[in-house]
Amino acid sequence: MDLFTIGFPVALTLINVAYCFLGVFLGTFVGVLPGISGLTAVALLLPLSYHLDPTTAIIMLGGLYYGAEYGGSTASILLNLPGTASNAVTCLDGYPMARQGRAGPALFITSVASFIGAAIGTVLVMFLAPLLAKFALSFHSAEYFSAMLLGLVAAGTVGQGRRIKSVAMVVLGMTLGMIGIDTNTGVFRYTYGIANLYDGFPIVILAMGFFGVTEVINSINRIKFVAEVGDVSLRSLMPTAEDFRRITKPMMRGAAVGSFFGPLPGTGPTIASFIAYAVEKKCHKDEDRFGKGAVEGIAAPETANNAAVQTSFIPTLTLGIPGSATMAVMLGALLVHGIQPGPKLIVEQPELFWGVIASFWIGNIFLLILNIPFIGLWVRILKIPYKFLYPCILCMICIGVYSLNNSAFDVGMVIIFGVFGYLLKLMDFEPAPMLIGFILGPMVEQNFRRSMVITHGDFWALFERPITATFLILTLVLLVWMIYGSLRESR
Amino acid sequence: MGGGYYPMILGATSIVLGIFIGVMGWREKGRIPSFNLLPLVAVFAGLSSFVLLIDRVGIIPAVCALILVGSLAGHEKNWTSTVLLAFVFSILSWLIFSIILELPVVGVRGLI
Repeated sequence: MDLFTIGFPVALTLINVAYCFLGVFLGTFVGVLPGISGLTAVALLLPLSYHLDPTTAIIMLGGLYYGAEYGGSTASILLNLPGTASNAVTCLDGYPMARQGRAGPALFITSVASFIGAAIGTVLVMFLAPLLAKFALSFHSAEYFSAMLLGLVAAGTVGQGRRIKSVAMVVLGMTLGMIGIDTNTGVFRYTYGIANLYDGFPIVILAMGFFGVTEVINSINRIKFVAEVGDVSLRSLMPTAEDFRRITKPMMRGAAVGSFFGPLPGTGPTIASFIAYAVEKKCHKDEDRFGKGAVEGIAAPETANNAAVQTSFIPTLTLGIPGSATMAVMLGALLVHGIQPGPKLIVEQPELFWGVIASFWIGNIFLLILNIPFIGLWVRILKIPYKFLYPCILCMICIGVYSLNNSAFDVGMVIIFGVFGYLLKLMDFEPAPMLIGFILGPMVEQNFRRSMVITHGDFWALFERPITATFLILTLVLLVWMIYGSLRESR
Repeated sequence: MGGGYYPMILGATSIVLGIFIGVMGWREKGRIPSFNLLPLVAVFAGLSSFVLLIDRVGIIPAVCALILVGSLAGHEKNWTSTVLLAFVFSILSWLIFSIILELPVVGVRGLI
């Protein structure tokens, strides 16, 4: 087993355990606080990760990502305010449980459900990623082009909100990703003679603007200071035996839903949790119990979002295609270190791949400890008023971006993206698909051009390759479905 | 295929999508989204003052300006704690970035 011979020796080195703990600790911290998402946290720590070894960097950023899923449910249950978007559905039954004086068991169940989801997700990564990588070894530029095109279209069509607006955001992301010198011809594109734009700009700037600054503007004066959130002592946490009996099957169903939606491009944990809740409701005859504090209604979505987070590493690490916007940012971190994830990653960099997977186990055990015995700490963090929090977030955004290149110009770009992102958010344009477009756009172009060189410019020759043809047809089906859906919506 | 091929495809797609979204929006009943104007302006001004000050005057005044101007966004104001926050954060960021990480940033130009 490579996990034990290669993975754990890497993950158990002092520095990696320390950064894993830092990642999950900060992840829970930002997860608990409404108004900062896991993605913003990943973007905030990205400048720090540039100074780290790539394996350590991904261990830390990964810990942030799945740690935020654990923390997010705390605010959902206690405040009826989701800590992160993927915990929104937990409010539906978690908050009623808290109102009935069962906040403790609710917090306990979500932590256990999160752990089970993460464990099942990690096992799937261990077995499916090497298989997918072996399959993808035969991929050429044509297959990559079609797989990435499918990813882009899926990012626009499967997400939340109006599909056509998501597609427009994907295209906007691709356009922004194109800025800079064209590697094939040496032509400057959309640089307008500004020297800072000649090499394009890193995804951190986009993520800090569209998520960090936008979230701050959106949250100021909307997140109220909470004086009292109730007492959560260790003794009050224990669920009843009846609760345990009830959540076993919902957790399995949640894990299945999460593992299915996690690796799909453009879906991710938020959609997985909503669908898991819907599925759970369908599975019970006494549907009207849901929304009134049913334990099944918190167990299923919390398992699903954690399973989705872990399995979203499968396409990112084996194909270089991010499954969610957060994964797109993490992919950006790997690219900075000169690592292009792909099917050869597991063979060429086994320390990175297995080390990161081993760190999932370590990190999730840390999280279980942080979220059950130490839950009181996080409940107290909920009482930090947002008016003190947001100046600190703004400060970290500015200094983080400035430290990338010692360039005030980069911070200026963050401001423009932040204001623009807020205006777009007002008009219901979701920024997540844009990040996927930004990171996939240049890769799609490169692979398309390479395959056109091979086929001498004959586009239809792509359909002679069975895998490429399958991907292209799927893309077409999705597009038709999107257009049909949009026409029906607008009627 | 030159360097302009891909931008042209994206541009054309954007135009088509834009027209489509515009027509859709025109045909349905709209709602005017509630606008968080004060935070938008305050955050914009705060961040801009950071950009203007960091290279010219240094990291300590830049962070102070960012926090003080940015704090104008909140309805409830507590100037004592905000000033304290600005002071602590600016010194802290100067220590971390100029002293520990040795980035080429000055604390206050001409002084430290």
